[in-house]
Amino acid sequence: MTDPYKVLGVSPQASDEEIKKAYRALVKKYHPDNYVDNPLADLADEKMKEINEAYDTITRMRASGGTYTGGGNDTYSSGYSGGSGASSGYARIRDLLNQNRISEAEILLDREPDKNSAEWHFLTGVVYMRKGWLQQAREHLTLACQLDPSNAEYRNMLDMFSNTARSSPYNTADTGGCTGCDICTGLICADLMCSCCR
Amino acid sequence: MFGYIKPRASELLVKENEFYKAVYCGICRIGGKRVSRFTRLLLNNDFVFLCLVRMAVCGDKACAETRRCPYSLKKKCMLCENESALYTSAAFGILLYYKALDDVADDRGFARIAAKFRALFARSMFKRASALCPGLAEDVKERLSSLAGLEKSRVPSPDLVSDSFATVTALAASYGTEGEERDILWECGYHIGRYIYLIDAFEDVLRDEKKGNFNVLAEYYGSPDAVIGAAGDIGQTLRDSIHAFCRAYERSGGSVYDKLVYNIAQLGSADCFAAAVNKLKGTDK
Repeated sequence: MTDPYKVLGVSPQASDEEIKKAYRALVKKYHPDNYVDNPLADLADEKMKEINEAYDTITRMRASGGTYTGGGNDTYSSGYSGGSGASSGYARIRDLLNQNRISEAEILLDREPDKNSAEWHFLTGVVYMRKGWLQQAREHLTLACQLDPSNAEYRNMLDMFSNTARSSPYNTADTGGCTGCDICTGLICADLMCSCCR
Repeated sequence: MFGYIKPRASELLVKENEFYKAVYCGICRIGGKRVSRFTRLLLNNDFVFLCLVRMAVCGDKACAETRRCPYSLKKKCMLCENESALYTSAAFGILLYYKALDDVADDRGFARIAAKFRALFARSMFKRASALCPGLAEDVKERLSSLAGLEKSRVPSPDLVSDSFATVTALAASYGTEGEERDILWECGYHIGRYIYLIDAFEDVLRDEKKGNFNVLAEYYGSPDAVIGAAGDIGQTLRDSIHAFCRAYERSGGSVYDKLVYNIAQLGSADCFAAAVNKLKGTDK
């Protein structure tokens, strides 16, 4: 199932009031009455169902303290207690990331009480990186490096972020590096200058 | 999709450039035969790139043959027709139809009548394309509807809004593949889609303001001037997408297409962004 927060266009950190507001705005927009005799009517109808499902899912998930089981591979597991100690929480999140269970890791990060630590920013950056949300990923990874400049893992991840494929023949093309063409051009210029001096 | 992914021809060998054209002509010809003759009029470089990436990851042979161009009989051209070209032309037909429907919903007055006319033509294209790729049309419709919702709500998050469009290109790029190939093509398609959505928003920031259209970068940075001022940051996030694409593509293990693919991804995208910056700064004065 699609991430219910994405369906409503809100972040997982959004308050209940914000979620309700987003839900109401979407319902107003996709209400079948607005699409009478419109070629997009069936699309709007499907969208309405999706919005209702997403809202129900979030409401149920929040009412039961975050326990939610979605369809397919997107399973948000229960059994994690945010108050059981930050380090064990982060270890669990790292496990989830290793298993590529991104949605669950994101929910656990959202429940972490300390959202200003370097580790929190680092793991959030990794989550966004895996999702392809690269602007937020870079912001969080940069913050993690600023908060803990001596941490090599954080620095390596940020460096990796800027690396392209190693096998690309164009890796130095835009970096001002010295290529074979530059050397040839230099030699030709030197030869011309020598000829002028004769 | 908007034609932002082009090669830097000056860095390619003649044979590489010829092969790029052969892929273009292959999609045009097979799309003309199996999807619609409008493929020729509307096909753009983004789809040629998606086709190339698919050919590289799926291990299609780099074979091209010389045939007479069906649209210009005097001309003979190299053509590269294969399954990847067929899927690409079908995905193109599906996206074109939904774009036309979107225009019908958004435009007003004469523009709306013109959009309805386009949608009418695109409908036959869509029917044949969706028969070639069962299931793709439904998935694309769902993501585009989610994108329309986010745009109408004026959500100021470049990552969130571009995510829906990026998922559409990921679906188109990976359709019909499985396992590791699917994972690589999904990731490649996603990052290219994100790049296309954001560079289009950047280039159109002034035009969108004039027309009162939603522009995610203007929402995020506050104003078109702030967007132009933040060109460095925007260039950085676009490069991040291209780097992520290259890292994903590299996992396919290398092929004869590598130089062409990296040329388009790294050099072509840098040229497109530089052109967009120049255009905006020129207009700004």
